[in-house]
Amino acid sequence: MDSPFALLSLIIAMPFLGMLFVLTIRDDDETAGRNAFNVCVFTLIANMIIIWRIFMVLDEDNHNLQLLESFRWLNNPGIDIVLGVDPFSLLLILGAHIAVLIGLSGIRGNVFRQKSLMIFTLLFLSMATGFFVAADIFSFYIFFEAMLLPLFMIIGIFGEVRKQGLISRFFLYNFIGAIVLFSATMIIYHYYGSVTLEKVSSLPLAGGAGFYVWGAICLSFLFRIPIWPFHYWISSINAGIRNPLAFTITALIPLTGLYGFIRFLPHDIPAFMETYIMWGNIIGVVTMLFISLIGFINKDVQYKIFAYVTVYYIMYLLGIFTGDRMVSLNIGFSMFAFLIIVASLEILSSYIFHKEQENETSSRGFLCRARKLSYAYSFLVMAAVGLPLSSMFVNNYLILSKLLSANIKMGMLLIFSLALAGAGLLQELFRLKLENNECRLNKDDDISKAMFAFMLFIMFVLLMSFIKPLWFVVDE
Amino acid sequence: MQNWLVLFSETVLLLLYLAVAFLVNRYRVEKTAKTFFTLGKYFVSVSLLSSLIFYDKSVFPSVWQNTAYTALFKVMIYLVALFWFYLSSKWFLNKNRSSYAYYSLCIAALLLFGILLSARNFAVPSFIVPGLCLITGCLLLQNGGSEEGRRILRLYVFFAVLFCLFLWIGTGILQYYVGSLDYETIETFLRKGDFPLPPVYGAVILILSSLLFMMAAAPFHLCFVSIIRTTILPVAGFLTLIPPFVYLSCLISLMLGVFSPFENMIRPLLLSFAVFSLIIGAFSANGQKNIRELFAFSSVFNLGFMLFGLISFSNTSVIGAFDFTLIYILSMFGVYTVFLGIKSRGDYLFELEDLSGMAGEKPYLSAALLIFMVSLIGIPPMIGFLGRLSVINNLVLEERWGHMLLLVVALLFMANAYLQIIRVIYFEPQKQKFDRTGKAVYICLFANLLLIFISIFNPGYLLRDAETILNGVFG
Repeated sequence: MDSPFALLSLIIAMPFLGMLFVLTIRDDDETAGRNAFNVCVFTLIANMIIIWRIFMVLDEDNHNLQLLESFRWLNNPGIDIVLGVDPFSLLLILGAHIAVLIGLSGIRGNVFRQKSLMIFTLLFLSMATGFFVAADIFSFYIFFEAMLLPLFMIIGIFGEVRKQGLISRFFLYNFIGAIVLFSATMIIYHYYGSVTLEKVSSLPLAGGAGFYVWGAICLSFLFRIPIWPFHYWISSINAGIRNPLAFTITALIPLTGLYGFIRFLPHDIPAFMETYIMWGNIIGVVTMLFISLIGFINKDVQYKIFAYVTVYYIMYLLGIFTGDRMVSLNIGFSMFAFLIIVASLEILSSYIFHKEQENETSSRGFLCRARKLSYAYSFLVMAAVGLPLSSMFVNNYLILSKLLSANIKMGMLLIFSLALAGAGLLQELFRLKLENNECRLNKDDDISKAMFAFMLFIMFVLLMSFIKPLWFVVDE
Repeated sequence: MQNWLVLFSETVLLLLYLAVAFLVNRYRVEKTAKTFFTLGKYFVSVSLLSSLIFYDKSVFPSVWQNTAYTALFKVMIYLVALFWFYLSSKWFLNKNRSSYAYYSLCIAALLLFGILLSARNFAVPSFIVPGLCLITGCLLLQNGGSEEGRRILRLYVFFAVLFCLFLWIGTGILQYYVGSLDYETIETFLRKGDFPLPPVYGAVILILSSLLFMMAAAPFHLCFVSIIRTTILPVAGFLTLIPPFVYLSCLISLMLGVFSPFENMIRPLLLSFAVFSLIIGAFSANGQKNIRELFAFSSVFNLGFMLFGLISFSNTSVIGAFDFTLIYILSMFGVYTVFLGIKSRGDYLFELEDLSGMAGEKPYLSAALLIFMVSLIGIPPMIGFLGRLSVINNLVLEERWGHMLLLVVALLFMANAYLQIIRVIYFEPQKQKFDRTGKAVYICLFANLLLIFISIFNPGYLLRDAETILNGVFG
């Protein structure tokens, strides 16, 4: 199916144009920041409406890339940019947009270089959207690497990372991953020309070339996922980020690695890759166990959320390794809710942290006095741990059942890790709900009505996704 | 009559500009720093146009032949020179210094570059290269005669004399064995293979080594780096932006039109220079605290990168090297434009720590520098990615996997050096106030960025015609 009105190009261009618009805003810092924020929100909402429209013209039952757009970008070497989308990738784009919108709601009152943050956020979103709609190897690679710069700038400026060397290492880690993918892309291009993503998984790459290409592809995606030994950069950066938007955006990075695996991993996994996948499973489970344990022990809520995010991403990765198409779709539905939950939890945790800092008091027992915050926070934690409040419930159940049927021991360890990560969040909820007379926070410190209304909307979206993942799609 | 008109480009530049500038400098009372730029821009523009009109006409075709290929490179250097002269005039205005010597020397250098590009006989480079060294030496005198400046000048003179001697010895040996210095005659002679190999091969190496010295390939890069660090900004910019095109063209002409029978023997030599440049450029850039020095090492690195792609001298490799150089010059032009905008209390800032927190007060300059550096690293969708793609595509086509690995590792180190600048500008607190940046800087940056953005969406806009001309070289 061809794309009407180049809709896919439009959803990439929209945040980019928004960024250019923000660039031209000239005013004092506070006003410029507010205007930039408004432009950013407007751009996101406009883009989400277009995405919604794309869902309507998409054939839900067709899991091939649809609405294809193609144009010649370079003659020497001949490179075409091909864009296409399927329900899975579109769902992730929408999830990422909603997550960023939630992250934005958490920084509404910020004044510190708000304009810069909006510029890099919109640039990141444009590149991330391009990444999810890329339909050929070159477009995929270009957007895969292009996301790095805005990400680096957001973390560097707003991540409050004290050790500057860490930020450089973060960039270099990712840059290595991107370069490795570039070399694999060039080799594929050399042998087969500019192929579409759907054909990559069935390329007859054998021998040394096959070994290198698949190795490089897997390695490049693993660089984006906090799995041992590639977990270093993300754990050292993510766990320390206090800006909710920066955290949300950073939390989207492993998603790009997972998406890469889904797009590239051959359906019939070559024999030499099976050994690697087995090792990937073992390392994944061990990493999950360690991180969930550390998250459970650690008192910092930020680390608990990070541990939760990591454990779930690794579970999705292991689900992808099963090579089952249905599991991939379940992962898509689950991740949609997962992204929204993580972003919402992060902004509420960040809100509590700032209230703690402002009043120089402990937040223990805060939820006993802040009813609106309590409703929202409790709902999100319950949804996060897997209660039937979002699409995570059914889909995670299906993913886990597949993993258990593949390997019962691995599945049990995985469930244990998930339980531990969820327990970490429950532990925090318990702490916030435990009556404490020394807590100086009261109902005046509760979230605003507008914020609560927004949270209610988020809860509504999550609940609806539990009933039907694509509830918002009206068939034409 | 028509034949002599062909020399219009060169005569306008040399005779008229130098004569008029001399008269203006001597007799005009009210001359500002901008006077010589105003004068120069007309002469260079006319010269640019005439080199386009007479792109395939020559007076002495056996010695000096204009072709579409030479015209392409001439247009490039004249255009870059015009824009850089414009920006340089702002520097001279700010410093309130006479620009007579600078513009006269640069235009004389442009003239020599133009002749060198069209050379078809070794007699031409034998005179032109020492002339260029002399002009560079004179340009070095522009920085006011500090002790360090004198030391670097002495160092430069030593190496310049040494490599000019190499060139003359190499040319002399070829004359002795071949009996002619004509490119075609020498190629025919080398193709026959009827000669004692060691002296002739030695002569070829001596000639190429002098060319590599002029290109500032490592390990001959020391003078270049020192010059860029210490000389005045207009001179540093001129020496960084103009020569790469000229020497790339000379190298391609020599390798395709003269030394092609020795290609297999020369390739390891060039490869070793490429490896040296790549490694020394990338590693040394990491330790630098002076951004001009850092970018000088970046130039050395980029030269190595370009040589890596070029050494097979095939159709795709030549086009790849040209694309890479064009994109590199575009980005470096942007970097030098930003340098002209970074001032505090009238002084241009070049120490890395002086740029701390610049993004807060100079967001547009910082953003531009960020874009240029990202382009130099080759991160898509910036235009630098096309350069990287052109070179690496060629390596893949030739299945040079080891070389590709080396390039990638060096690229990582180079990226780390650029990150150092980005970190200081964006992530560190501001330490000092910056002066207001002139409109000229913003205009040039805007034009440069516009070109980059257009090229992101349609790279053919920038590269297509050049690629067509270069394809013509291969018939």
